[in-house]
Amino acid sequence: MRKFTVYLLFGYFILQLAVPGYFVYRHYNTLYTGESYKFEVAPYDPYDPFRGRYVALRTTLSLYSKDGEYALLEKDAAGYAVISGWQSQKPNDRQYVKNPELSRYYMNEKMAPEAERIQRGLDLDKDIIYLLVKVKNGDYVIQGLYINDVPIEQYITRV
Amino acid sequence: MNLNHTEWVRAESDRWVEDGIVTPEQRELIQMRYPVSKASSPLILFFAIIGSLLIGAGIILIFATNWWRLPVIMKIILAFLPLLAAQSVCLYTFRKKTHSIAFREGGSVFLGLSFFAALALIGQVFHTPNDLESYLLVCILFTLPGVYLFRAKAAMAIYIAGAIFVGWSWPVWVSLILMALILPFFYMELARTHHEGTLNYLLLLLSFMISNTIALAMYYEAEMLEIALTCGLAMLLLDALFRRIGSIYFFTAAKLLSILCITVTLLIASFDFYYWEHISAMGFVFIATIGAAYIALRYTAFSGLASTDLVAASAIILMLSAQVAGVAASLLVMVLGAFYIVRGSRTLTLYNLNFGMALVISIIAIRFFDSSLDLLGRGIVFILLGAAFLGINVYISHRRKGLLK
Repeated sequence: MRKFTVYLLFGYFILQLAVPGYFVYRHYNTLYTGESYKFEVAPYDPYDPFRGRYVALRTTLSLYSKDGEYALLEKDAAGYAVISGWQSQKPNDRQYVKNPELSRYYMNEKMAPEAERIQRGLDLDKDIIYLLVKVKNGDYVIQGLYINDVPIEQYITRV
Repeated sequence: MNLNHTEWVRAESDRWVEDGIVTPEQRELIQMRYPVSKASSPLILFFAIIGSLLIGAGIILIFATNWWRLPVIMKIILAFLPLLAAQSVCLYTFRKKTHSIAFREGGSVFLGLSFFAALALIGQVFHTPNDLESYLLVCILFTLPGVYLFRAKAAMAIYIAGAIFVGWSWPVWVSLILMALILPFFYMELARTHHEGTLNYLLLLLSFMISNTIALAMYYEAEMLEIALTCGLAMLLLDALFRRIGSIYFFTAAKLLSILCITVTLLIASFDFYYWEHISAMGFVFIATIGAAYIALRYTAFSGLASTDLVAASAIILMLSAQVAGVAASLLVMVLGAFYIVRGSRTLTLYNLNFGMALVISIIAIRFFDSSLDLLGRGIVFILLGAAFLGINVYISHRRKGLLK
């Protein structure tokens, strides 16, 4: 009985490590081998009780398909994402996303309200705020939030 | 026997030997009769759990200060560190400290929360947009094996709090599954535990979970009053069931909560003279079913009327007399109040007496300011009630005098 419990315990421990490990593997792989796309966004500043403060974002590009279709991604000359088409079959030959939620960018408690204050003061005709997102085979990971090509963390420390 | 008592016995028995009251051999026998209890103090357990929580929170806060400066790989390692530390503590507990409640409880809370932290930190590192409810659901499901493996009642409270929270964001079957997953643990622990405080703790959590599931199942179809009555009745049914199968009294806290739940519902229902128009089929079916089960259970194992029978009967009568719910609720509160006053006077238990008086005073105050009743009607009813109370008082005094003679 005790031997069986030991197996259960180790199985439990392995599963506990495997679940976050799998998330890490998928996201890490996408982050370092995926293709970069810029998505123009508008932020605001809510709070998640467990994961802390984040800048909530809305992409200016509409990426949502109510029929669950795949959005085919291309890039314009400046590296911004453009949707070249929609299709119901999973594409094989190019990058795509399916209803991606590019809605959260986590920052610490001091920086998130600061980020919100800064973005309020931006001149949207001149300043550009965008998310740099890595995409690979439908997986996507946010690499950074940028204001005028400067990571927001650095931008805040400069201001 | 706790340490203070044991020390007293040892000191006194030494003096008895000195005074020649007992022989040294007899002293040994006396001291052996009162060994120091090896059971952990609740205080040690409390400190173990709080300590685990504080260490976890402290580690997170220290790294949170400069989190954004760290490279991704470092953040990932830091996300896994508390989990690995908690697993080491639990492994040590399993190998060396299986009998230490403090280690089992503290270790499993640490393990559960470090999994919460690992997922949260990884979510933060990669800015994943998953909602709070999905995150909590995954976390509590991963807390559950620790609850069983370490018989951890504190980790169980985390599971139940999480299950209650996520239940409101998912279909009701999710709540039912979450409840079904923890019920065997309750069953095992209730069978093993004889400590009254632990029993109350377990049963209180169980009653929270069952009430929440009932409320979830009824929420969109039934009135709030019906949900409250159903939850109260369900708790009383559970009480009757426990008394039947295990001869244990379900509660102190949970029973009080169910009695309060029903009496407060009666007080609120006493306002609503048009309750019949709002009554829902689901509310009726739930109350009727649980009420019938309660009656059947009490009938088959009748051991004299209990105070809970009267409270359960009040809930059932209110439902059956829904057309005149306001009047029925007022009368039921009066009857319950009178019952608890008489009971309190007879058994000299102040909480019964006070509870009864609180009920009677509440219903009188509510009706006194109730503008939907005309002044004359209220006046007559008040005089009649006053006369009845005085009559009961005179009757009890006469009876007491008779007994004294």
